[in-house]
Amino acid sequence: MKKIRRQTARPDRKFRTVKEIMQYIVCAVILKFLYHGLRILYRHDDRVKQDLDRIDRGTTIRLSCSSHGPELKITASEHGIDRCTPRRCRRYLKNTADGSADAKAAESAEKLPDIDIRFKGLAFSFAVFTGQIGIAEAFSGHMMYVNGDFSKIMSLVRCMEQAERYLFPSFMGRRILKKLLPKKISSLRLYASIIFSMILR
Amino acid sequence: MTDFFEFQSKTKILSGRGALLRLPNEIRLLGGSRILLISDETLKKIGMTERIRSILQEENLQIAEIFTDIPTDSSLSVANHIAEICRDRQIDAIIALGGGSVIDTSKGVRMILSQKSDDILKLSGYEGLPAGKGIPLCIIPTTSGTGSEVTGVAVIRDENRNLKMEFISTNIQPDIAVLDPEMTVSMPPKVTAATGMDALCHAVEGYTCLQKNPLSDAYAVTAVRLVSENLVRAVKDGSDTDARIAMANAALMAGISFSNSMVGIVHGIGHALGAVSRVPHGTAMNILLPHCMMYNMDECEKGYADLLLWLAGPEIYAATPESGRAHACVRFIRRLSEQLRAICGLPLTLSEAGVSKADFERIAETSLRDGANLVNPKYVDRDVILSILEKAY
Repeated sequence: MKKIRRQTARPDRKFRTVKEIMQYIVCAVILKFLYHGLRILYRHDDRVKQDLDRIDRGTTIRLSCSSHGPELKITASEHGIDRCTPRRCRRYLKNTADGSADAKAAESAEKLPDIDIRFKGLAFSFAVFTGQIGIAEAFSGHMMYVNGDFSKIMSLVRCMEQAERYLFPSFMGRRILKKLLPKKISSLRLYASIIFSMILR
Repeated sequence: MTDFFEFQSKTKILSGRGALLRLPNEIRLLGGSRILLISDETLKKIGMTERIRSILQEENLQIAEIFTDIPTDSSLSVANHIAEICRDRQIDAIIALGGGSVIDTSKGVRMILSQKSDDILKLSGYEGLPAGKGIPLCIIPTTSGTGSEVTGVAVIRDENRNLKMEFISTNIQPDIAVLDPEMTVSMPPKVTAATGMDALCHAVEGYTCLQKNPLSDAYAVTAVRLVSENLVRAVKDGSDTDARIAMANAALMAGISFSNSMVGIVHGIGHALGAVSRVPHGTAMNILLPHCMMYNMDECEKGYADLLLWLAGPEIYAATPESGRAHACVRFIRRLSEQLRAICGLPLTLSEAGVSKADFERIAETSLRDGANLVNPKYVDRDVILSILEKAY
């Protein structure tokens, strides 16, 4: 009887193993790194800037590691990307009363994203975020799905690949990226800027 | 390439002489009674829509509505408009008769109806579409190239942004594909050539793109062999029904292959050429294929070398040194394109296709938004696209 109860209870649990908890934490941390990294690269790498500028201002994008995993909800803005959080939303609405693109973007924090990118499982996002497989390989390997205008996220995907170039050492980059593009700032400087930016928040 | 792959091809295929006559029974089995026939004005003028109507009538099936106002490059608004008509007329089955534009529009209409949506734009995405309400979709292709009668991909133009949008989901694969040579014998030589090269391009990309797998490979190589043996025959003599049905099978098999293994840079640039400069898709594929193969050469050399066997036959394959087979494959395709130009005037360069150099920047910018470039085996950026366009000019 006990056995049956344990089995029926399992699907309701968020995590079943320590491994899953670890994967959740790692993915959550790397999502934060990715977000701050992209914002810093927007200022220092013209290729990232060009690609992020291709996304229409105010477009909201949600990147989820799985149905119950950590997620990052961002909006295309004057800084390249901004987080869609209620706090940021309030700040925007306070500063911009004329209904500009940024205000609209902030309002969109409350609604469903325009584009929803979701990994089909935490193990897949963990593999991508730890540099075991590349983003292109994850797409072609049916590890994620996209709801929304597919053409709009191509530039974000390219940016994420460029961020991987900085965040992972070259030997890992060579395995997961089709081409190692030259860096515009050193990885060390990027890491330091990310940590600084995270502390300042 | 990972060792994991997904493969799906759920479409029932009716192929060969007299396949059309089996259509009514299939529609009935799928539960269709109020049928919408989507086609284009040309096919209506030459009596093909009437032929379908009479075949269905013989088995007491009525067409509730015929829609033939489909432009060469269909758009999102056309799909939305037809879906509205379907809702008004309570349509429960769709038959699409035509080429790529008609077929992709019908997929879009079915998608809107089955998802109970009012705008196709809301359904855009990659593999995120749920199954929805089952609306039978039957495709009768009148060209042999797109393979769209079996794929889970619909490419429809967004007229506001001037780009081709991709809708990718296994849930948009049609239910029935009817390949009858009666439907393709009237295809003009130039269209036969262009669509045939499109099929070849699907097979080549299907055999070399990131998610290639043993099943997609099997379809791709057979498609390559069928194109190699029958395309010139079908272009020279349109009434050669054996060549026609072989080309229809080739297009279908290439479609199954690329639907599961994806396409790459040739389509990434080709879609943009169609959207910006209105180059017909097959013509764009014919022009770009050898140049893009040369660009991908260092990543796909083995794949191209394998394809030489199916393109040129065992004697030429055996007589070619192993190190030269991939380049020989590209040369073979170039020669085939030149032969087609000599027979029917199929353009070999972008300048012959009427593309202006001034449009290159816009084409490159549009191409960068295409998902096909992401899954190309080799890195693609703006400079790469511009350099390929220059070479193809």
